Amino acid sequence: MPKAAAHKSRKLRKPDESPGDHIAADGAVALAAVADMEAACELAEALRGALERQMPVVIDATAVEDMSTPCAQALVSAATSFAAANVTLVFRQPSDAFIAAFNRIGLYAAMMQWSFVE
Amino acid sequence: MDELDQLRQTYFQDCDELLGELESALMALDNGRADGDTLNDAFRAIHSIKGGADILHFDRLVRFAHTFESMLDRLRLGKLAVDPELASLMLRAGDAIADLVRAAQAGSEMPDGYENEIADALQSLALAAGAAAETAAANGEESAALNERDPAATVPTADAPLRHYRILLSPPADLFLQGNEPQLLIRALERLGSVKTVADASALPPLASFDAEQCYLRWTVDVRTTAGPEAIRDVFDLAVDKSDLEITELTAPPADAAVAGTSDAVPAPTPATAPSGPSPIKPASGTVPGVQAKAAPTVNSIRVDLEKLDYLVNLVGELVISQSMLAEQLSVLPTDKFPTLSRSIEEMSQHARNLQDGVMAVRTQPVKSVFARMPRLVRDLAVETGKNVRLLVSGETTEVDKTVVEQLFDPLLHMIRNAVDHGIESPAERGANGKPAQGTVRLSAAHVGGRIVIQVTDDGRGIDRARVRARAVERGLLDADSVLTEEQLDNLIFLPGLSTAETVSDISGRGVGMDVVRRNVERLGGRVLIRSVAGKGSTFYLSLPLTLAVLDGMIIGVGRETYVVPLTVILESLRPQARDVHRLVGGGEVLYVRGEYVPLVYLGRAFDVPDATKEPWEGLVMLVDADAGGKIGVVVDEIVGQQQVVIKSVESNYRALRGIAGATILGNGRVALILDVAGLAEAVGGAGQSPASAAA
Amino acid sequence: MSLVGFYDPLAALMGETGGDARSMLQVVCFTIGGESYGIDIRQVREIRAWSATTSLPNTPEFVMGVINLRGTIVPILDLRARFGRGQSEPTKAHVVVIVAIDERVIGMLVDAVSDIATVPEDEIRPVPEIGGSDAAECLNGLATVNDQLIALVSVERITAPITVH
Repeated sequence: MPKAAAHKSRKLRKPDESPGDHIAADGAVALAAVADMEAACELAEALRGALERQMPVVIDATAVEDMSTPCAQALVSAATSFAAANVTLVFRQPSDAFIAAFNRIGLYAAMMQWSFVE
Repeated sequence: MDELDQLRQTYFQDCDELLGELESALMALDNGRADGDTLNDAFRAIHSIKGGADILHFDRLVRFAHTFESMLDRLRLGKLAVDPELASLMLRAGDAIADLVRAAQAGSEMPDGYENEIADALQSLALAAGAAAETAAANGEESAALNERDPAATVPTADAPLRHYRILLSPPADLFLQGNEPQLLIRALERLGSVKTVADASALPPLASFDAEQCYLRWTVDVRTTAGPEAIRDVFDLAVDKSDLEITELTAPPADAAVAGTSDAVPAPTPATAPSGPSPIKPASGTVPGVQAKAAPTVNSIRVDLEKLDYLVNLVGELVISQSMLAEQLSVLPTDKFPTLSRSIEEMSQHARNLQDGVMAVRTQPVKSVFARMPRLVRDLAVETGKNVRLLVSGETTEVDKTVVEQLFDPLLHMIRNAVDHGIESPAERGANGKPAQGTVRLSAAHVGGRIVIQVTDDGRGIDRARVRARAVERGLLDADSVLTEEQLDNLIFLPGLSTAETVSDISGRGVGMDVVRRNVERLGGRVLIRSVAGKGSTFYLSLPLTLAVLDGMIIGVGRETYVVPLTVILESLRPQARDVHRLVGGGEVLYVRGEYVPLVYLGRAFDVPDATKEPWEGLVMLVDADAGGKIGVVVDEIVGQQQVVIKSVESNYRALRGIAGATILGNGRVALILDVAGLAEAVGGAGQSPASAAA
Repeated sequence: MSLVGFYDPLAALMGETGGDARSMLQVVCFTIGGESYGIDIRQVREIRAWSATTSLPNTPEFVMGVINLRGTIVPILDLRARFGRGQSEPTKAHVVVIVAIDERVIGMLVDAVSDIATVPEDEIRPVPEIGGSDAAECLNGLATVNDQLIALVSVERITAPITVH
């Protein structure tokens, strides 16, 4: 079975950068077309920051074409944590690829419990 | 390239190796070495070929491989013994497998029923061993899945019953960091049938302590397919450790006639509960030797597309040329005024040379891949000619550039055919001459003097010089009154149209083989010659450059032309004294050097170069080794320098030229021809050589 | 490039009766010693100015030698000599037409390249049997372009002496 290239750990935190910086003031995060491991790391950082500040977040999943398992996993962790803290986390217009990926990975049931907006 | 293409490519590359291993094992069986290891090697090879074929839907290949595999399984379980007839049959089966693989690779089909005769023979032999004793699959052994009554059991066809597998995947936390993406595995499973995946996220930490690079998920995957468990296992092969994987078949395997179709309702997807169904199929079954999923190889090597490598080699070649052009341009600058620049250029030259060496080293391969085909060839030839011959091989780890390895097979084939066909006598004749009934052919390879030299030695009857000579005269290739040395007589066999076999056997043809061989070898910058002792045997010597791509050369000037002489052939260069140059009665010239007389070849005359220096003492003489032509002195004007050059073909757009091995592009952008000194010696004829050698 | 069987806009521009598909041959026209020749454009790879060749030993007179064409060794033929009209004395003003046949790339030295002409295939006349001159054996046919007679050459036959063993 062909393997993708092995990743090296990407824990490069720039000094003095607060993790919540990546989320725009209106709390919107857009997922890229290729939501890979790197995106998963950034996403987790950004969402962690938002959660710490109790900021509501809208995740725009329109552009997703390639959803990786690390990214899906990150979203599940985030959604669960946001829900537990009673902070709003919603998804906007998830693409077909987004949904298909969750189905394939076996996290469809979890995903179906999330909030989606137009 | 999408995954399926990638899978296909990898599969066929694997098959190359597997077919080689299979043949080696079958040859060993044929030679009477029917031990457990050999049988297991053969079984393993077929099994792997079958597995990939299954995933890629090469149904015919799968069916035949299955039949073959069943036979081998029977053998290694001791249910059947190997006799010569069976061994021969299996060799033929091996050939058939190879043909089916090639057809699949080419996207074509072998003729209908091509493999049926062999398959039928295999099956009837297998049945004769008492197949009725086969027990049902509940014992958990691999062989349970191989049902000789239904050889197509593992082929996913519409008629085969649907089997239900449950896969529990509990990967390590660094699954993603290892480069695995579970969706690819799921997709591969989807190709086998219908898949339902449920992930267990119970181990997923809250966001505050979540590490995106770790894998916290576990999976339960239900697959419904007609494929066998090997197909499932193969999906995870190399990606996932066996210990992280548990595959259970929830349906009873089809060998058990009582079970029809799938098991009942799909159990609720609760993760990590130990399944209670029958026959758990652990991926690594230690009980049956040799029946393991392929162990994940330690990654010490990678496969590289040859195209990528060739591209690299070309690039490096161009780099070397550019760098030497740069060096030449800057050589006019006084080094003392630009010391740093000069040093930098020098370093760059060194780097370019090292880079070139490095890239060339990547391309070298042991000649083993070519040598490995020879034992089978000898065996077949022996059978065809009714002779008793064994082949001894040595030096197969000798390495040469891939370009050379590819060219080796054909000349080797002819030389070995010649040895078995013409050299080795029939057992009766050998006995009458006091020789052992079994003839021996020795094949060896070694690095000698910057080249690779391959020898094929037989202990046969040697060359019948009288007959060869008579035939050559008869064909008008030789004057009746020429005087030839024994060695020259021997090498007459390389002339076209010479065949002195009593019966022109089908194999070696009408003597057209050896002259074509010689021409082809010379075209590569190689030499081939034969030495023989009457009654004792003959030896073929085949020498080839280590690479056809690059060589270290001495740049020489003759008139207004520049040539390159391979360093490996240069013995020394000197400026002769007039008194050491002697004219011969026949018209040639020789140079007296430390007690010997060396024939002179005027390059300017041989190549018709205007303005070439006329007298050797005004120019230089390079003493070179011209192989069969012995030592000759090449008269040139000057030595310009020494450098490594990239060999370019003159022949691809023009034709082969006697005395020219190729061309290169020098630092000034101009083309320089590379000399083939042996060819040069022959073309010029040398002093006192017969027309026969010159005419070849 | 030659639009055999297709509508050729160039032909229409030149006032040919177009409309229906009429087989057209596009030729690169060149001159040697004042005579005009043409070669099927589909065989032409490129056109270069003359550059010095490295001579090859023991080759026919019309083989001038080889050049380095972007890393490939390409033989250059003197067409004038090949046609038996003596040897060229090339200067930078001369032109080399690089052609491709089968898998080979070969260059042909000519005096000059004039233009590209389109010739309807049905207007190509066979070469009269003049009786075995080197030039005649290399020709495929004759055509008239703008009142000028162009001899169409066969690259295969020009190169036959060196490609056939």
